[in-house]
Amino acid sequence: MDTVNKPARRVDALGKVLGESKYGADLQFEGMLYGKVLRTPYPHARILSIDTDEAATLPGVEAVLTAADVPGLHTFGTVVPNQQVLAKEVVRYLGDAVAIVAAVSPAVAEKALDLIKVEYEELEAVFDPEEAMAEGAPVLHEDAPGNIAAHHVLEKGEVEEGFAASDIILEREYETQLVEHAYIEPEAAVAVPEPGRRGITVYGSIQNPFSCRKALSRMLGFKLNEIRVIQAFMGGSFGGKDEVMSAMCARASMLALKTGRPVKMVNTREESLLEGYKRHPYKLKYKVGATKEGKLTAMKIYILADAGAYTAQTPFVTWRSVVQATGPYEVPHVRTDVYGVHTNNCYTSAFRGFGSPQIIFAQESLMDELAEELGMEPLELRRLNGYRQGSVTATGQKLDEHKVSLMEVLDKAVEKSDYLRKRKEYANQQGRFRKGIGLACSFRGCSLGAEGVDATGAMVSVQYDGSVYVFSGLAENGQGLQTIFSQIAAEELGISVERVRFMPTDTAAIPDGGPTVASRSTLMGGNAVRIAAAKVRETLLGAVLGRLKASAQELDWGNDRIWVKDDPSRCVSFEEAINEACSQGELLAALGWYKAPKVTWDDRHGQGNAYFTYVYGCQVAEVEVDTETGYTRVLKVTAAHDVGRAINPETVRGQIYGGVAQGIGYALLEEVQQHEGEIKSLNFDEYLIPGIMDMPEIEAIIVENPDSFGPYGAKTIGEPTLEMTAPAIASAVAQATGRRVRQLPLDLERVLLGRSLQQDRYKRREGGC
Amino acid sequence: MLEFDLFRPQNLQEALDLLAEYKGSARVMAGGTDLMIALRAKKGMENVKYIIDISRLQELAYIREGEGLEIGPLATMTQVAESPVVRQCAGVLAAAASTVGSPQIRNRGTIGGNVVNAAVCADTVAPLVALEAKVKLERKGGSRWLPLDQFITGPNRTQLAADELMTGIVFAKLPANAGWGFMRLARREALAIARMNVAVVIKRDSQGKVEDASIVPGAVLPRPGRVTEAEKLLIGTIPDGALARRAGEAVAEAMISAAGRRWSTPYKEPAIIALTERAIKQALEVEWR
Repeated sequence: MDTVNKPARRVDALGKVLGESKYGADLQFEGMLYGKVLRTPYPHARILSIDTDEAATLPGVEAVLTAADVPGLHTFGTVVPNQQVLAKEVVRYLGDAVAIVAAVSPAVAEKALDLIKVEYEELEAVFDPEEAMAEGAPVLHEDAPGNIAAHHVLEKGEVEEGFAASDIILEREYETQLVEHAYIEPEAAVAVPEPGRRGITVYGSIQNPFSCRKALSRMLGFKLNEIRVIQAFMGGSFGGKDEVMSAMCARASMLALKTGRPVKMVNTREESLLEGYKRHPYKLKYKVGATKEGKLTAMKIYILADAGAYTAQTPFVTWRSVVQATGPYEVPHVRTDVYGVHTNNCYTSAFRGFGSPQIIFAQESLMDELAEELGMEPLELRRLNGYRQGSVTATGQKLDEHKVSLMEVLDKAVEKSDYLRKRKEYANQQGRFRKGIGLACSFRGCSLGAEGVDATGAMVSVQYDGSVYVFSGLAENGQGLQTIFSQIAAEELGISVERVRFMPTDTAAIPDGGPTVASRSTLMGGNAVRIAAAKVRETLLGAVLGRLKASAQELDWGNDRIWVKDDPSRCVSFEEAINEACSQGELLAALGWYKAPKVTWDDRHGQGNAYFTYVYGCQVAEVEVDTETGYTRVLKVTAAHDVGRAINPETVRGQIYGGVAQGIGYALLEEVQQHEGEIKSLNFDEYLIPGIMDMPEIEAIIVENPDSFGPYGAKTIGEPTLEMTAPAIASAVAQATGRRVRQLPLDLERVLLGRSLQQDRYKRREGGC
Repeated sequence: MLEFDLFRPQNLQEALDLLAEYKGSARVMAGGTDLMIALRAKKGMENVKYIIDISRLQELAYIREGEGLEIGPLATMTQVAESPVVRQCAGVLAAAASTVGSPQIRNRGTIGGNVVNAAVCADTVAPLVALEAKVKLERKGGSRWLPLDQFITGPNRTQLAADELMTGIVFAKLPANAGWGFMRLARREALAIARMNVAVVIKRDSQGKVEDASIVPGAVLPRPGRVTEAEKLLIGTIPDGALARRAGEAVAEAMISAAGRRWSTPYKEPAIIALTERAIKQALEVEWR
């Protein structure tokens, strides 16, 4: 391989560091207006009346719209379309919009918001998932009795028999927090009406242009071919710019269609934190049985996820949880129930990890707790129960179509981190500052699995000067997709990456290839690019057969040339091959389409081949805890991840560094403060994410076991990198302090006292620090 | 929407004239690191019609040695943290200034702004109180001096009149027999507001006996001040670790008696004991880890 498996420079880096790349908020159009949103002051209320007259007559205001003005349906959503672009009768959380304004400047638009008069009748609200499930609780959506947004069941074996056969049973409860994506670029979009005919083009910070287009079609009442969504450069997404962007793009579009002028909308950071969805907080009850030798016999799991006001992707997020809730361990008897529950809190949806960081925090903490009860080294417990080739998962899937590399990643991370020696060294410490080391591992299903249809496309188009376009239905969200796809196209065509130009994802330029989620892009989109480029290459080879006097099987290619294997002096350059093909009237463009291998799912029992392949990872964290203040510093994280094949080892390392940083935030710092539906931490002075000074040394270990389905064997890296950092840190802190914290994040109070004080603060209505 | 007029006086007299004219409807901006946040949050800005930006008054950006050390209110945190004379004669203040925010904030934020904003967690206030600093307040046609611990009357409250500007901070240089300690606790390594801090200055005789001690916690008492109960424990002794801890306990007791048991007390009580003990040990130049 000439280009793949090599550290190519990111093709989008230079424009970004020079400040030349245009993000959503940078875009300007002639006659452009600015849109702003009026949101509800109540988390649950009936709208009695909206008076927009005064706002509409303010000089500079061009349009004021409410739900009554929505041209199509006022709701949208991937699974259950119950999210409101503009609230019609009832508002269900404090991010709900009731009116939008377009004006000649953001200042005028904001002034107009103050002039809109809305009468509400407050409704009883519910903020706790358990209370929301109880009888008599206010029901948010008629079609979701008991406020159940999702319920997934998994039954394997007879769980009570498994407990009966155990020598030890452990029951533990864990809790994870509400977390913000904290992308550096808040949401931004510009909608431009098509001149002269029905149609709208939307540019913006949009993670999933096709999902956005589908939502717009429903809300605008437009056909799909009347809507064009083009992704601008993205300042991060991490799963966070889906539904919130569909809403923003629809609002901008409605204002643009009403006024006939382009309309820009940009959220402030406060608006972003207020309206944007977050990671689901989970309450997890685990009951595990094991023999005294440490062999797992049964696991019973009960999970409540706070879905907040709308369904969004809760059914999918909680589905991944039910598949992976037992961790990468052979458990003969399992019963799992995962509920997603509506409340009047901020809604929750996709966030890097997608239902895995929560369960991995619980299950990996539990493994360490069980090991301690058994007097075993946690590593040994994992070696005893961890998946090996041919293991059967909780969903009944036999793992035999890919290399099951759990033991390999465990061994590599343990060896590189010197885990066993340090674990012993830190077992007995004196003093105020104490160190600890902990590990966590995971298996993760790649791509969408049985969530839904899984296929995607790409187009490779070779121009007659030797330059190449790549179009993809999947999008660059900062993860490095442009570079990976350019490398794959270059590899297949045998040319340098510099010839390839990745085009912005544009719904009018390429078929709908599903969303850029589930760490599926390299695996799925990479295959599509590979197929497309290979088709063009075959055309080029065919065009030069006469000139080289050889059959296609006799040819080889690379370094911008095609030659005869046995006689490299008989060769043509890439340009010469293109000339030949063009003169023969050949098509030098091709669409590649890749359909994922079959998966199966039985919803009633939670059984089936949930994903067609899996990745394995292990992280070891070393910490130092100030035992008098609870302050915890991460000293080192060693991260071993099997990626199948690293298309670009540098971007793989980048993913690992970024994921671990996000994982450290999840472990120690990040928690959206929300009380009675009100988000208290509305900017980054209060919502703290790790800074560069908080980052430890990260040792990234890339493990490569090529997968039979992946392009060049490549699988997945985006999400696994953060999903196991928090439990590794939690176990390291437990070793350092002698006390396990079962709630995230492990902030000062939880590490020192074992509990958070925030609820006391709200109960007592006290301010201060 | 906040709307206001911005003035940029070119010298102190112009600034005092503007203050005399607009008084309560004007707000002074130095580095802006607190004011910009308040403007964005629209907190306490209801009556503000004018912003007087004094950041160009270079005459107030001094650090100089007179009888004591004189620091102009527009000296930035970076200036204070890096000043050789501050580091030598008031190391506790330089140490505190170096912990504020990030390099960008330290380059903009001023010591005068930190003091006048009077947040309970203001990092330079505790060391300045420990140094027994006085502040100069000027108005058109007059001036007065106040000890810093009297100047600040509560959280974000001071004795600064609406037409006054702080124009100087003065304190005695630490003598050679003085040691200092500064401890700060925040939720992350940098760019984090202090949960608590504590500044300690200890003067000892040639035998190592404590002649005088200043122990000033931050974000612990409703208004900044020395904890004399803690200081008394040390004076006249050659303190050991146990005594340092008892002094810490005295600070915690002072916190609870001044503010009562609040939501944060279960955490702050043990933490301030530890921080105080460490700052005292640092001042005594003994290992505190």
